[in-house]
Amino acid sequence: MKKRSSNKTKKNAPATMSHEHAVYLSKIKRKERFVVSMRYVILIGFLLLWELFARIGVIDPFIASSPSRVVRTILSLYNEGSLFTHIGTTLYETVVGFLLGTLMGILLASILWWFPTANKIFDPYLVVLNALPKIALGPILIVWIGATEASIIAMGVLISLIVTIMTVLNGFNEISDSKQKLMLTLGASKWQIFVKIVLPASIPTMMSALKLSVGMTWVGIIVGEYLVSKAGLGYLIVYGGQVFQLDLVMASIILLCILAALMYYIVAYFEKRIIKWRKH
Amino acid sequence: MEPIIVELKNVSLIYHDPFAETLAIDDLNLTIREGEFAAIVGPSGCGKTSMLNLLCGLTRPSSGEVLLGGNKVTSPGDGIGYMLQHDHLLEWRDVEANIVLGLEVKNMLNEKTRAYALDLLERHGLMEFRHHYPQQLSGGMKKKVALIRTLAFDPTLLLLDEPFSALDYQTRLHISDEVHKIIKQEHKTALLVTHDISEAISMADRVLVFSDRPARVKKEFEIKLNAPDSPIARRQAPEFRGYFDSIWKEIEYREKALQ
Repeated sequence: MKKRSSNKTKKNAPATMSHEHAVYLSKIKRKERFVVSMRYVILIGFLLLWELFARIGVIDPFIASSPSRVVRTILSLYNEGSLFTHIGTTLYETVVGFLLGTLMGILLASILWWFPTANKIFDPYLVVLNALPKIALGPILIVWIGATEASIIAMGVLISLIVTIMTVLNGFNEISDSKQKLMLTLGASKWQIFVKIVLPASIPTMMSALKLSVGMTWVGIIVGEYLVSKAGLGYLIVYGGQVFQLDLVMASIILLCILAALMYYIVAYFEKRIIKWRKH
Repeated sequence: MEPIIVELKNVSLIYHDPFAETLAIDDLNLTIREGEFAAIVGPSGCGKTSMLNLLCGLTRPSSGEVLLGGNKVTSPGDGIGYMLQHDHLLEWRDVEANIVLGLEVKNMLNEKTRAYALDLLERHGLMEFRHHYPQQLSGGMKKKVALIRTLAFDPTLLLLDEPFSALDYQTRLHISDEVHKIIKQEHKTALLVTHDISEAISMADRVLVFSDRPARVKKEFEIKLNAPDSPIARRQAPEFRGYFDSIWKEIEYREKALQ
């Protein structure tokens, strides 16, 4: 059945196209290709210039490092056997922080949706908590939880949680009243309205909330590692800065870039998969 | 005479908002008999939708009684199918999953009721779109799917709240014809609320003109047209114009009174 419908959409496209249409299509394709290739040109150009300037002495490789030194640093970390420990530590903290923040955020948003009066009561508190730089709470976390990994994860959760609650709750409250009225006329209970209308209709908002909170969690975890840690990329950055090993700092930042991008794309991929009905 | 399906007895409704209380409906009496297609026309904001909410059990009257099949209506039950202005098909469900929504909510979904819903699709020419998503359907088709969703749990009374007002004129004529056909074929009792006088005359056997707020039945018209039983054909009937003028005057009167 699914196949049949896709055949139908294909039927709409003309079997033969006019010359103008072919020109139009190739124009779009050329533009697309230009955009993608420019991205690579910028990346490769940046790396080449960085390396070149470091070699001819325009910039001081001791404080600015260079791509080849970064590669060498990563390789030596690998040879020491500590590369994956650091990556693994940070990744573990981030994933756990992200999942916890997201689940708790969605749960709390659901509770606030369910009890509109509670929502009204807590609204100013949420606004203040959202405005508060959560990093300020770092010392409190360390005292309360201890100088452990748990503190770092708590930092990640704190930073992403409030944004998740607010975005998801907004999504829930945007579901039109008349859609809810439809459910009420059918005699639906509040639970049925939540499960059959509010949750599925907010999946797009939830997914963009997730994309936001991935980034926020990274901030929280790295800050957490700055404050307390014995391993992880944030630890390497602070350590490298303290012993003036900028190669180590740069290498960690680049690894961080790659990991953060990867995680973002994984979330974006799930977004695409889950919202498949959007494409219909 | 056919048995009475719906009865409103001396119903009034006071509507509260932070600024004032409004008497939306005052001493309203109304009877609808089985198999009838009744229409209500009236000035906008006269309390037509409030009355539908009463019938559906979404709100309770401040005084008086609302009876469905002789029983007091207290909460949205299985007896009433309410078709809203917008189709509100769920974008993430295909047609089949959409039409069983009511059955699902009412915990009535089983093989038999699903088969009945699918049979409605089949009989009204939508079976081939069973696995399509709402975004793939035209406005008119969505209306038909919404109607079938409403019919799927076999309600005794259909409430149609300006169901065509969001459609363009061409689609509107065509779809009101189809919806009328479906309702007649399924032998349903229907109550249409609209501000479109022609639509009311072309679809209904009886047109009730509501007064301005607070809503009362101002005048009733038994519509007898010398034409085949289809809204488009009925618009051609020689008596159509006469009904239109009389109803128009009843509604127009209010505006003069206001000035």
